[in-house]
Amino acid sequence: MSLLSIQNLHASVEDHEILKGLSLDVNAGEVHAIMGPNGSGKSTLASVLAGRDDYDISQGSVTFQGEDLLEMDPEERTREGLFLAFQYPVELPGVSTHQFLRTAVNSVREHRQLDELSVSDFLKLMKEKAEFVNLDPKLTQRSVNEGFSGGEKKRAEIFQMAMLDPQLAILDETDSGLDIDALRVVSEGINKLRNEDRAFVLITHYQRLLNFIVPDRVHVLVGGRIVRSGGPELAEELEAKGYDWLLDEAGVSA
Amino acid sequence: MIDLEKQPGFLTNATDALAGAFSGDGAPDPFHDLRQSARQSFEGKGLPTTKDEAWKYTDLRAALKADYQPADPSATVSDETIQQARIPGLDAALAVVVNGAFDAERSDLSGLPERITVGGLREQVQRDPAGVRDTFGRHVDLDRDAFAALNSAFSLDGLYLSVPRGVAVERPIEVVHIVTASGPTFVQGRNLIVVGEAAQATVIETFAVEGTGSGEPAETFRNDLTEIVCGAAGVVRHVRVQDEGPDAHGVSLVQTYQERDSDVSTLTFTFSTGTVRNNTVMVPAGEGGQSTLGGLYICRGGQHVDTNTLVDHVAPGCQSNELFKGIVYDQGTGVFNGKVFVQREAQQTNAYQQSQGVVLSPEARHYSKPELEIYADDVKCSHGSTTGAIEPEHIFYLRSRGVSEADARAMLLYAFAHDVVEMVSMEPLRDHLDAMIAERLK
Ligand SMILES: Nc1ncnc2c1ncn2[C@@H]1O[C@H](COP(=O)(O)OP(=O)(O)OP(=O)(O)O)[C@@H](O)[C@H]1O
Ligand SMILES: [Mg+2]
Repeated sequence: MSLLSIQNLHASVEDHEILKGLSLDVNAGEVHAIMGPNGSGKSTLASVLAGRDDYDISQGSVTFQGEDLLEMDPEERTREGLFLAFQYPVELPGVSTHQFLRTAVNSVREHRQLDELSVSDFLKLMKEKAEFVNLDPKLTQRSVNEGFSGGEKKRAEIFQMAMLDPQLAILDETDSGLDIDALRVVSEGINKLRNEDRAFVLITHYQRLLNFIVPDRVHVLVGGRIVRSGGPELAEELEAKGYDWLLDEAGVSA
Repeated sequence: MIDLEKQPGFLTNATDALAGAFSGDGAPDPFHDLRQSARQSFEGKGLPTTKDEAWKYTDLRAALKADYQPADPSATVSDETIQQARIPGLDAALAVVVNGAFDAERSDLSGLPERITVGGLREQVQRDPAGVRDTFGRHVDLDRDAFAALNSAFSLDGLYLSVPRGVAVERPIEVVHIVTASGPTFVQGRNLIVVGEAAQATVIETFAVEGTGSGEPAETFRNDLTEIVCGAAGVVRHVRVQDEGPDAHGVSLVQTYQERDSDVSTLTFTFSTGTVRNNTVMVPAGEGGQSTLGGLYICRGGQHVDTNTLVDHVAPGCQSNELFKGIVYDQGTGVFNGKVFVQREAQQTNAYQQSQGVVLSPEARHYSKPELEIYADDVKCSHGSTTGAIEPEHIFYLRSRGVSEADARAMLLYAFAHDVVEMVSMEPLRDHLDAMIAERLK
């Protein structure tokens, strides 16, 4: 059984269909990359999976660990082991990162029938995970994402991912905005988290991320559908040739 | 305007009783003329109605409907009520005001510098009428405000604090106002705070209502006035915490007047109340003054909180900083009307005003009206006003990290509200306010 199974998913916003029959299977232990032109629906897919309620799902199904994902509240999906690192994480002035993450971690732990973390264990975990992604610990003293640079926000997303220990992590353009050193650190972090139980979906525009994290499968999302899938070599081909040839094949215009 | 015929009966009935209560003790009454003119001003104006632009959103009729009787100034309250009304953990001197009358026996004004004068206003008037008369009512514009006139016409007790030149009163003074009664009660309080040149003081006011015997707390209507007069380079910190319950209505005015280089801050936190109108008027009247005003109101049920402010920049080179925030649930109403006036002489004024409202139910209302009137040309003024719901994006972000929707809302609202708490410098008071906010947001 796949960890995540998306069948013929159609999603629209205000009668404007964005996902038009998308299917994708991700097994435990795999890393999938999703590439595709701007506006093709990559972030929409991520949002639908995370449970944003702006979308109207007219057709299709999504199961996660065999359960109907679309029936779950966003927090329930996360507690079940799904994690989305946002392309554009919001800033939450006045919301303390400590307090927020403690609530988040303990909500997830409670769901997984683990004991609540004590304050000192929680702080230990924070310290460990911040080091893991080389996040300046000062940032965890601030309000959530407030005044963070673009790169800091991306790093903070990976830090939060590590804190929540998901089964399936979807990273929406986490590589954009990272300088080369940060990209290396974040990639190494992800590689360390790779194991036979955990899966990743990396949404990216760039081959450079996939040099660090070699995916099992690469998919091209165009016009709300996956128009081609292949191995890591597909990403290289896209890097060299762009998307135009696929747009033509898929019968859509960019 | 309305005429006296249409005034709520209790005020017409009570006027004579009040007049008797406050002048029938044979003490010299240097305020006779002031009271007389205040009374005339009040009777001429009558109580405001919603036709009055400044009262557009606040209709006092329902709050004034009960058969209010003047509070009995000789009443006493239990220690428990006093303790409950105090800020936990705050090391402060205590002034207790019961039914509008300063209660010397229950107060504990120890630990304060000897050179200051502190106690009941009424007592002080008897001791030194001329001294009080120097500042009392001097800066209040009775023509602008019928309730201030009403207060000035009849009320005369509350805290009196006078800090001489150069004395810094480190210990805060906590004024606990308690109403105890078995039926609907009208009460007026008056505080006069005079801080001399380079002197400093901190005053915190809390409010409570106690039912007599085993009875429920009575319905109350307060009309309070606090005057703060701050000398050159003086510093005053003033905070009010209103949390008397849904049957406590009232109108209040905090009036500050500041001389050169002084720094005055007045903050109001409104939790559970009925219909409340809070007026603040600040006058930075000497060069280099700094005026800070702010508040937070969290309205639930049918609660109505109207904040009306005026910062009158009459002197050059002053700075004013204003931040009010409101959260309205249920059928609650929040109103903010803030005026900043920069007179021609007030060059190099730096005035900042911000009002934010969060509306959490379809029946809740928040009205915000910033007004800037600027007659000087070399000034920096900014104001902002927002009213809306909590950002769905923000809730979604928190939920996407496993936080429940209820927790996510509470976190965001707490963050919103805590901003105003940041303006308070005393740690125990901040903690208390944070705890009250968390409780009120549940
Ligand atoms: N809430 C929304 N309301 C209206 N249109 C939307 C909404 N969300 C997405 N869209 C539209 O859907 C299309 C797909 O957007 P999406 O963000 O999924 O693209 P993407 O593949 O992530 O692009 P990029 O590479 O630029 O991040 C775009 O045309 C976008 O404008
Ligand atoms: Mg995107």
